[in-house]
Formats: sequence, structure tokens, C-alpha cells
Amino acid sequence: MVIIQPTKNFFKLNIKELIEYRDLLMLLVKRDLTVIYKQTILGPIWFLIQPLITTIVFTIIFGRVANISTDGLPHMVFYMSGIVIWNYAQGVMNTAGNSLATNSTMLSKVYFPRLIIPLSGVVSNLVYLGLNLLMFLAFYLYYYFNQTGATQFAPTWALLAFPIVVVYTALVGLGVGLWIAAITTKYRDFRFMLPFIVQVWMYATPIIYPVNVVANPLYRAIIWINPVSLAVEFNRYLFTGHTSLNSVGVIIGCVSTLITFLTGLAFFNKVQRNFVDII
Amino acid sequence: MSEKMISVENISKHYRLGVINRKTFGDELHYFLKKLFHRKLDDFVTIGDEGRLGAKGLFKALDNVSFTVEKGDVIGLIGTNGSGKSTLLKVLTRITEPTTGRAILNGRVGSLLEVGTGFHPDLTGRENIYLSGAVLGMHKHEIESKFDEIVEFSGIKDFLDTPVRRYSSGMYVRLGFAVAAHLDPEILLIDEVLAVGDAEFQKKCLAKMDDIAKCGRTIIFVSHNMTAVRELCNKCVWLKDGKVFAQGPSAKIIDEYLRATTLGSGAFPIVAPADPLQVDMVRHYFDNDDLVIENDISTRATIPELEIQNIIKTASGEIVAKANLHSTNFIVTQLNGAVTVVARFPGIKKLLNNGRYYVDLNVNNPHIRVMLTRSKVLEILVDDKPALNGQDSNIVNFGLLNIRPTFSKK
Ligand SMILES: Nc1ncnc2c1ncn2[C@@H]1O[C@H](COP(=O)(O)OP(=O)(O)O)[C@@H](O)[C@H]1O
Ligand SMILES: [Mg+2]
Repeated sequence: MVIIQPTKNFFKLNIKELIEYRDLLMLLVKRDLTVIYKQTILGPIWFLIQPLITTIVFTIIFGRVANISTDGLPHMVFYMSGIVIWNYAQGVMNTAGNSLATNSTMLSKVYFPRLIIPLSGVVSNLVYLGLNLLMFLAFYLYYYFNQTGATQFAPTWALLAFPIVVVYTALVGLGVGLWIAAITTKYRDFRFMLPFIVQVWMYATPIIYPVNVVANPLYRAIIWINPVSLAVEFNRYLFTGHTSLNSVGVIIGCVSTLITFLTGLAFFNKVQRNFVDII
Repeated sequence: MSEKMISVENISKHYRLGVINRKTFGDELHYFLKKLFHRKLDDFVTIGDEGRLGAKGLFKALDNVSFTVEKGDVIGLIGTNGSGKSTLLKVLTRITEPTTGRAILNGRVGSLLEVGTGFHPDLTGRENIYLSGAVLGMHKHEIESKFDEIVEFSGIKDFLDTPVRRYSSGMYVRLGFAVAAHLDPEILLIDEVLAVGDAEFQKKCLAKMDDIAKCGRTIIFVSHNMTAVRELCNKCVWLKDGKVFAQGPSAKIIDEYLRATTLGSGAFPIVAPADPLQVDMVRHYFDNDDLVIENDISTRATIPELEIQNIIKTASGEIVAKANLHSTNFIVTQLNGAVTVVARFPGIKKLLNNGRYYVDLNVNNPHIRVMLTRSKVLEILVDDKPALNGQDSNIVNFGLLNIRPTFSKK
């Protein structure tokens, strides 16, 4: 039995219904993957080339030219450990952020829990995360067995907690993505500001620098409030044992992720219920 | 005991017209400034008509709609364009939320809303069938068991592995209907789909819907094709300006609806919604003091009997005179092709004061039902009466009749 009435509680997350629609979720994942596979010339290889080039560019500009500290770690290992996480967060964010707009024809014809689309992004981006990780591991192992620098690095036992990093990152990407979906629905021109905001956001994430080189306490606070920072730093710690992370950073990061996700969910729920009226 | 399948309780849906044009931060700022200075917000209101505009530019697309549907009912949802039919189906399919009110659906809902479906253009027909099933909340094996039937019905077998973006609109609808009808929903909601696709496929769809209904499924069917609605539906709900205007047995409601579907000065030909008949032209002239109205009618098949009504009304709708079966005893029989039916109103011009008069036209199957109805097909101007006492001798000043009454003292 279905009861249709105006939503009162925007924080509602109907997990039971989401589980009922798991087949749809998997089909959407398959769709995302096949569509991208068909549309890009290089197919999945693109997902290896993109982070590789980014890492090389970072190594040259920030590592060699600007000479920004990488905490004594090899540049490639330092940057890539951050980029892998950042790419996943951003991938999830993009899928979730575009979920309403790109699927508007489908949304205006059939019902299914709208959250399924952002969630499908969480799953489909796992594939790219896997590809990124593979490449990262190749470089990581190379540098691990050829350690020349004064600073030694080694994986920690906490590496077993890697799935937690993934879940945490997914939650961040989802939270921000839900916000973006909601705002771009209400204000079309927000779309044009988005690349700029993402750019700034990336520089506020400790990808090209370790947090401990930031002396200004205000900047440091901003970096820890940025929910992706925790994931990036934690991931780096798992693989190398080096980090600027402390318990305050962990708490701030978790709280900020939770707030981002819950408010994003509420805002998304509010917008999606009448989304088709204004397309 | 019949079981309630759908219960719609005081559903209202308001569209916020103001919001439609405030799509950017820039607009938002503009709107805010206007509001600040209490200026009219006209710039932001785009669609809708006055009567249904509520407070704050809210447009009532649905206004307290209530009805119930029992198991096995096939409901025809009828009403003129803009009356809210599609909006109601969108609410019932949970594509958009009602503003107030509640609806309870007692079963799995399958739907086909207007042209197209929830297909994804990049995926193949095959993939889309699975997607549509999953959207209905079905599992893979359930879809698999229906797969062949769907392909068979839609007739797109050869294009199963082609992305649907390459499909023609006809193929799109065929596949859409096949999926909606075969995935075994307990409630089927169909909006105006039969307007697309060829006649043969339409017949096939109607037959399929009939089958579904016979299996005890519940259907709500929106269509302008009154013949189809009459054949398929046992009950009708008539929406007018977002409200339920009438509901009841199909035959009764459809007749009332056809009688009332007015809107004058429509361009010719006026095509009968459910019969092979059209009115190609209606014109008038004065023959001395007689008014003559000529109705050009043509048919696409033999119609055994038909009756014409020409009703002359004042601008405010009072009937001045009627030419109908009662006054003329005139019936056209075995009409196949064209005919001009001439109505003569003897001496009427002399009798009427100056003013504008209007003619309504009905074509009926005598004593049975209305086939076609249209108000204000003609405007007749009477302006030959001389001024009296310096006043124009029009209806307002001197009444309907030009009889020049007198007073005298006794
Ligand atoms: N998304 C929308 N925003 C604003 N007004 C709308 C929207 N959709 C429909 N309307 C208006 O609501 C009314 C009812 O529309 P609709 O339900 O499509 O009517 P029908 O299907 O009976 O022709 C129309 O006047 C239409 O202009
Ligand atoms: Mg409609």
C-alpha cells in the first residue's frame, strides 16, 4: 500500500524502500559504466591517464618548481594518495550533483526513490576508485622497494581500515553532491560557479601539501572543517605511517561530514519532491 | 464486497508560478528588490488563468479532488486541456507531490504518461525493458518471465539491441505501452498515449487494456477519444478547472461532457469527437426579415439518423429561439457524404432590437445522445433599428423585442 501525501520530515531516509530498489540501483550503475565506456574514446584507460597526468603535473609544479614539502615522502606517493581519494569524492559528488538534471526525462515519467541515482554514483565510482588504486599501488610498491630518501615509509596495520576511508569519502561526496543537486535545481546559474568552487575546494584539501606546513591557525581550522581533508590525511597515514592528523582533526572532520550529509539529504528531499514541476 | 484500490482524498496541487522565472541568483535578486518596493510581481507570472490563481501567484492545477476507485474499475478521466488530468496522474504516480491532501494506492502502479516513458535513450530496448521493470520495483526473474510477451506485443524484435534514441516515436510508444501493460501492475495509469501510434496499434492497446481490466486490474485512462473511453471505461471522472465537476457511469458523464464542451468561435471544421462526422461551415444571411442559417455537414461513414439544433442566444446566454427536432420535426437520414441543413427563423429580424446574438450548434443522434456540440459558432449582428428618443434602440435600452410599446393616460 502506498500513501501519497506532502512530505513533512525531510530528514527521512527510507532505507527499506532503497533496499527494495536494489535491482534498479545495479542497473543504473551498469548504465553509467556502459554509457561512459561507449562515449569515451579511451574507455576505462582514461581513468588511469587522468590521475597519472595530474600527479605528474603536481610533481613538476608543486614539488620541483614551488618546492612545497611532501613530508619527506616521494612526490608521486604523496600526491597520488591524495588524488585517489579526491577523485572518488569528486566523482560521487558529480554524479549526485547532476542526478536530477541529467535524469530529468526519466524522473518526469516514472517514480522510484530519487536517492537511488546519487547512490548509484557511489557504487559506479567505486570502479574508477579501484582503477586509480591499482595505479597508485604500482607506484607505491615501486617507491617502497626503492626507498632512497631520508624519511622511510611503510604501510600500517590500520590499512585494514581502508574500507572505512571509502565509506567516509562516499558520504562526503554524497553530502556535497546532494547539496549541489538541490541548489542547481533552484538556481540554474549556480552550475557556472561550480568548477570554480571545486577548484578552491581542492586547494583547501591537503593534497599538494601536508597540513603541518600550514602555520596560520585559521587556515588550519578551515582545512580540518573541510570534510575531505580527514579522508586524504587518513589514507596517507594508512599507506605511509606519516600524517599531520590528530584527534581534534578527526572529530571535526566526522562532525562536518555528518552535518554536510544530513543537511544535503534534507535539502535534496525538499527539492526532489517537486523537481519535475520546474523543468 | 468490492475493494478500494485507489482513494483520492482532497488532493490539491498548486504550481508556484512566481518560481518558474526565478531560476537564477540574478532573478532572485531582482525578485527580492521588487518585493522590497512592493511592486507588482507580474514579470514573474507566466502561465495560468485568473480564476485559478490563488494567493502569492499560486496556480491551482488541482483543487480538492476526491474520488475512489474500486478493484476492477476502469475509470475514464476526462476534461478539456489544462483541466488537470495529467497533473492528477503525476501525483498518483508519485512523480510530483501534492500540495495538500492524500491518496492511498492499494497495489503496484504501472504507468505510461503522455508521450514517451522512463526510457534511457542510450540504452538498448532490451536494457530498457529491464530498467522499466526495476523501476516498477520488480526483480530480474519476474521481468524475465514477461520478456518475450513484451517483445512480441511491441513488435520491435529486430531493434531489441538498438539504443532507443534511434527509435521512431511510434516504436517508443509501442515499447512503452508493452512494458507498462505487461509488467503486471495492479493499477495502471495511462495518459493520452493513444494519440500517438497508428490506428491498428491503438486498437491493439485498447484490446490489451480491456484484457487487463477483465483480469480484475484497475485502470485510470485519460483520453480525448470519447469512443474509446465509452467502450473501455465503466466510470468517468470529469475534471474541470482542477476540480471534479462530475463523476458517475461513463455513458452519462460522457454525454454531459460532450454537451458542455463548448468554446465558441472555434475554427471550422468542427470534428465530432466520437463519430465519423464533421461540421464544415455554418453561415447566415437575412432573407428579408427571415434569418437563414446554413449548416454544412459531412460524414465519413453512413449515419442512420441525425438531428441539428441551432439555438439563438443573447450575449448573456438567454435563449431567443431554437430550431430543433421539436420545432421542425426534421431528421437527416442515411447520410453518407455532405449535406447542407438550412434553418429558417421567419420574421425574426423585425422582432429583435439592435444587438449581438450568438448561435449554438448541436448535432445529435435523435433522442439518444449528443454527437457534437459547440457554442457561439456564429455571431449575428442586428443594427437596423432606428434610434428612439435619441437613444440607440439596443437590447440594453429597450429590451429584446422591437415592439415599440406605448403609454397613455386613462
Ligand atoms: N509544471 C507546471 N508548472 C506550472 N503550471 C503547470 C505545470 N504543469 C501544468 N501546469 C498547469 O496546470 C494546468 C493543468 O495541466 P495538466 O494537468 O497538464 O492538464 P491536462 O492534462 O488536463 O491538459 C494547466 O493550466 C497547466 O498550464
Ligand atoms: Mg495532459
